[in-house]
Amino acid sequence: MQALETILSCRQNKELKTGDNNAKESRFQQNRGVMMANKQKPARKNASVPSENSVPAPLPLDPSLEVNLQELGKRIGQSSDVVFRRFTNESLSSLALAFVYIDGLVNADVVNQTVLQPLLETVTLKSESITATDAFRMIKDQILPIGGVKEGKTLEALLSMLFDGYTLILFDGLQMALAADTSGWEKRSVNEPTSQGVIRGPKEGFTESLRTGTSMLRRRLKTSDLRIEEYKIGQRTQTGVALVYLDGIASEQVLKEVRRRLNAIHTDSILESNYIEEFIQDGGLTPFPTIQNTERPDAMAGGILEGQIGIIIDGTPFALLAPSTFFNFFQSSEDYYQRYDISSFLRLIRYGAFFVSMLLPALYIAVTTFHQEMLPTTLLVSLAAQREGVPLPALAEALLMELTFDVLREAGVRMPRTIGPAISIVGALVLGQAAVQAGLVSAAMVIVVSFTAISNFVIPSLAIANSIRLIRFVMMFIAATLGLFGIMSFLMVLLIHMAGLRSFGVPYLSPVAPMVPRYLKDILIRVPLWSMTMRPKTNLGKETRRQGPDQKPKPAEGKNSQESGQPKPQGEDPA
Amino acid sequence: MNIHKKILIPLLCLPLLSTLLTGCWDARELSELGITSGSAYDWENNQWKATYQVINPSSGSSGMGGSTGGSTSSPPFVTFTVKGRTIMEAIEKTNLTSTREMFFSHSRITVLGESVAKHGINQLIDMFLRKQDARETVYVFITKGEAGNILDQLMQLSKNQGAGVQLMIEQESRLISYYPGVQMFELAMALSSESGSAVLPEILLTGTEIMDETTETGRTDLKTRLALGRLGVLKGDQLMGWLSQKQAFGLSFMTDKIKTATIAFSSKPKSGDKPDASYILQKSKTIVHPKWEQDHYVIDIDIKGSGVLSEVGSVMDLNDRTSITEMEHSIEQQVLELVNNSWKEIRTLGADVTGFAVRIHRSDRKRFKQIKKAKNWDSTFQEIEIRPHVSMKIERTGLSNKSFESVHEK
Amino acid sequence: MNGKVGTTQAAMLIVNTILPTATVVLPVIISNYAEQDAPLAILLSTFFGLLIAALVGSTVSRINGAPFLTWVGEKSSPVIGTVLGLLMLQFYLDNTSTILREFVNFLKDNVLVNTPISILCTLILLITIYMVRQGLEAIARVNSLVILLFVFFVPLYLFGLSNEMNVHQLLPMFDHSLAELTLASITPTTWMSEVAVLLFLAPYLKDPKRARIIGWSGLIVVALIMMFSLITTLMVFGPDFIKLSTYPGFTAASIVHLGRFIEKLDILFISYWVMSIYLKFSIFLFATVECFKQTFRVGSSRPFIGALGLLILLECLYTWQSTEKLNLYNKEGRFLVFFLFNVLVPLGAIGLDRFKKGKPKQKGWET
Repeated sequence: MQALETILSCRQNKELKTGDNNAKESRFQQNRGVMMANKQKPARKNASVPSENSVPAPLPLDPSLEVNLQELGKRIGQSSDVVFRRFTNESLSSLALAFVYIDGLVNADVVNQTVLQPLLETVTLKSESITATDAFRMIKDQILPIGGVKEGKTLEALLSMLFDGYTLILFDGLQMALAADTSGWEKRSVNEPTSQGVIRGPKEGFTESLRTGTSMLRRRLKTSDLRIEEYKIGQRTQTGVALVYLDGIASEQVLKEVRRRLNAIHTDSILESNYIEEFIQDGGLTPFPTIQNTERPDAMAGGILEGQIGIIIDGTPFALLAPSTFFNFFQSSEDYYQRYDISSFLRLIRYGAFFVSMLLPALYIAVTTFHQEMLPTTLLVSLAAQREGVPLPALAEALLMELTFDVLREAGVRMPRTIGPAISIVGALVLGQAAVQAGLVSAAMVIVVSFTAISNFVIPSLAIANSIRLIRFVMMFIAATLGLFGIMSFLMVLLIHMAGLRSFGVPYLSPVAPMVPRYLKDILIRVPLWSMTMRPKTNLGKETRRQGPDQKPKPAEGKNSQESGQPKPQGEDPA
Repeated sequence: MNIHKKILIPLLCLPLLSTLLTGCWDARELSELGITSGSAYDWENNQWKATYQVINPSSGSSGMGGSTGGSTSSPPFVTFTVKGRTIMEAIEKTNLTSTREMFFSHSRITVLGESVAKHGINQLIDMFLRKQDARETVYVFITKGEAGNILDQLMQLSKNQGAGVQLMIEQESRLISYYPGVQMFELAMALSSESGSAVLPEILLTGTEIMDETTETGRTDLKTRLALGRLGVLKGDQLMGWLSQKQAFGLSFMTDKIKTATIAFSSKPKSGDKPDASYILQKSKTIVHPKWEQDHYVIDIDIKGSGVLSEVGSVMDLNDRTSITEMEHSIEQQVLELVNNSWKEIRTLGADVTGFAVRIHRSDRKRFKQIKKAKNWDSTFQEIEIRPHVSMKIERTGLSNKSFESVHEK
Repeated sequence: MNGKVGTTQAAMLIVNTILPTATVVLPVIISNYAEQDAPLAILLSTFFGLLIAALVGSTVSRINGAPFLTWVGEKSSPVIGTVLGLLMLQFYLDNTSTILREFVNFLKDNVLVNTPISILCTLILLITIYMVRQGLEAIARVNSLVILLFVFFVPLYLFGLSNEMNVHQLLPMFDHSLAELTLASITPTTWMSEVAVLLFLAPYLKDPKRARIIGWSGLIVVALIMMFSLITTLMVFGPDFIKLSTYPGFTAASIVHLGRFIEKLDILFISYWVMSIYLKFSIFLFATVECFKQTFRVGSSRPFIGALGLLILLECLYTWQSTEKLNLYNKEGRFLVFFLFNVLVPLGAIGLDRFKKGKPKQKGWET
């Protein structure tokens, strides 16, 4: 009986806490970005929230400037980068004003020229004392030559603006404050993407700044259909997350699902796009990624144009694209910047490389230990000759080499740039050559492992390349136990797993399984652009036209072309 | 609950995984395999005597291997000879002497001693069809003496003797077409078909001494070499007799097995029968058509061929149509002679290696059923009359228009 | 995820319901009776198969996507429904375990000679259970992918064998009496009758009204592929040799060679076959589970898949321990059982429906 009671009381306690939390939560939600459209109330599932949940209750501003400033100071602590500046403008109002901004987040020039200077200059304009409210309105509407001016009524709202680089203008005697957008901090300039290079195509990549990212997309998609919804996620980091999509092309259903999942994220920090990816992606324990990431604004624009939804996260140059099918990971933006024939060829090579990189070591093990009859005799004999003095069984040999390669690869990433080349020499020459000569591994195995490794780099998406790195090991074990039958069985498991997987409701293997033949134009090969007239509805729910029906270039038919005359270049329109 | 389940399931799976890992039941490392490239069977004292030729990988010329230990003087293959009451017993007995497990999937040739061919080869064929790692595609040969000796002989230009012999027979059937190579499944097919007979090419040693030391292959002209010889004829599962190479050639014409062949003929049949010219037959097609005439079968054999003149030893103007026709006629005569000669021998042996039974069954199944019922196919076969019709065409005469001999005439 | 399966995918499912074991078991049985007339036997059995498919198809479209046993229970009485359900459950359990056995036997014969049967069975079963848990939709998708691979394997097979094939091996045609042909076509007909699995797949079909088309197109593809494989093996080996071989199709595959470099490809074909029999097995396990679900009216079958799998495993391991028992069943017992469940049951269902419809005033349409 007693036990039961304790449980009951416990539960009550929990419920109490939850209620509390919900209240906090809703307030917390109000503080999220202003631009939020179609905002839904968060659906909280998780009942038990850790006690260390330190979102303070929103505090309305006090009429007294002094109290407000004190409160602010208390909240921020004695952080040295916060600048409080009291400022009295007798002519404008007898009440005191104060500026607060964070040094480093604001552009000092902007603060001086657009906030301080106008306010100082108005001294001569008016002499009568006016009420605080009038002053407030006047400053907001007439004096500040700044685009982004916002009002804030609670300390929390103001604080979050403060952290975004706004300059706060607090008025004595008013329960409102102004926030002027003076943000400007040190940013990395736009650079060439480091992880997804192309030979032909735009060379700019996203930067850590969310605004730069959205602007890059705006520059590419100059249509009123482009929607950017902004969220602030992460209680402590308050990371800006922007949802970018084309209205009317992105599927409403998918959008709703993405919004729901984004809203359901309840976390302390979002530092990189992977945080978001792990919180919203399907399939839980799947080894396959269901969300793409990209560093390239053009790739993202392309995805958005096909109905995907982009998610740009502040603080990282890697943005996300969802929903993504398996085949999306094999498309590179460069496919569309090159002629279709070579692109198709490269596509096929990528799929080939995918299988090689997943299966080659396993196949090698299976063939050399189970199905020796498959090999041509001469090859078998030379393999046998190579293995003659090797002390390890094929599986151990393969594992050893694969692990060695993974160590080398990891070392290559961590290595300071200057010693990088040294490592590759050590890796390639010393480990490869010497291991063979010492008779530790056979030469064929070195070939297998290096080809596998190189194949892995052919796949354009690192996400899927990484997933098969792990699958490869499982494959090797199964191949060493059951041979080709084991490989086939495991492939079956993978296939069925992928067939059952969905990315935001879109079947992962579409449009191959379920098969829609006319959507295969951009899957295994890439057909010429003019023949891809329709947008596949795989991830939209509806089919829309993207190209005119008859775009194949052909010589003009004499008469017609003369009548229509030279079309004007579009750019020359003076308007 | 859910979390517990998620932990429990992998935990339960772990022991399963470990059983998978410990038991690699069918795995065989390459270094444990004795890759056989050929096998030979003899029948001795009511026992099977089997000889296996196992490739020695480390004698390979490429020194890249993990250990370059294998010296160049080590033989490219080694042979084991074992005896047993059954074939498998013999094979298993190899493990008493060999360090490696025999692996038959890469066998290229199987040599049957005459003794086995006389004793019967059904058991052997059965083993080949039944055993999982035995290849149905091995080439089968027959040899006069002891089959095991053939496998001991070293070859030049080809380290792997089995593969070398395979190359020999494939080239033979492609270039001179005396007889086609016979693979195990073809042998089984031929023996199980209506005619119940098959042919096997003979392989022999040209000398008496067996070259089985690596030092001996250092010389340019080996005293003893492997060579293809006559054609053995089997009926049921026993050796009936032999066809000479010429007779085998005739048989090839009858069974449409000619790919390319060279025919020597006399360019001026009127002035002598001595062959003094050669003709390369490039295309040949044989159509066999049986028909029943009163009390016996008559088989029409239409042989049509075309080719190039490659050698002329008499005075001749090749622009002259009549001389070409004359030569064509002479070639036709040659082929006719080959066929008739061959048929005579086949009829004496009484083995239907021409596959006439199959043809008759296909075109005249009712009568064939009667024959089969009455079990008098053998006598029917003896009464068969063949009517070969040969037409050979010289399509081109090569790069010179006149024979060199005609220069001398002037 | 209870997605529905489209018509094309369903037809492909039917193909793999029949084909994998048929290619392994049938050629020997057929050519034993019919020799070079085997293609005719296939034609004959396809004809019977199409009849059965029509029967099953019209049953399914009458039921229109409702669970079969529930429907029977409603139309007649719950008792009959349950009894029929139990019988069919037994039938499907037997059937599924024979498939598993054939699968394992084949593996043991051809590839994994020394691997213990229990390990193989357990592994296959675990994988299949996973497949069934992913639902019919995923199975159908993978199935369509696997069938697409024919595009690769058929030309390889044809090209590799082109040297060995001889059209004359097919002669003489019509060498066998109709009685012999019928005898030869009985066993293939039983295989064709497996199209009745549609009864249990019906609730997952997008368009159950088109079940007849599904069955027909599936069967026609099966017949075509069977013909193809039989004719090519006949052309390669001739009628007499086929009888000797346990798995003629794969023996033919082992002769496939491209030049002197690529030889002994049977393993490749076997691996492909392994994929398709996985699918076949999963379809039947799915049907078994569905049958169980409908008989005992359980809401979710997920907890029972494992148990049913265990049952199948035990039956496979102990009942079908000896190959000759299985062969005997394939040759003789099977026809009767299959006829009973795959032909008579749908026939009875149609009869029941007609009977009920005959006096519509009594009960009327209740949907």
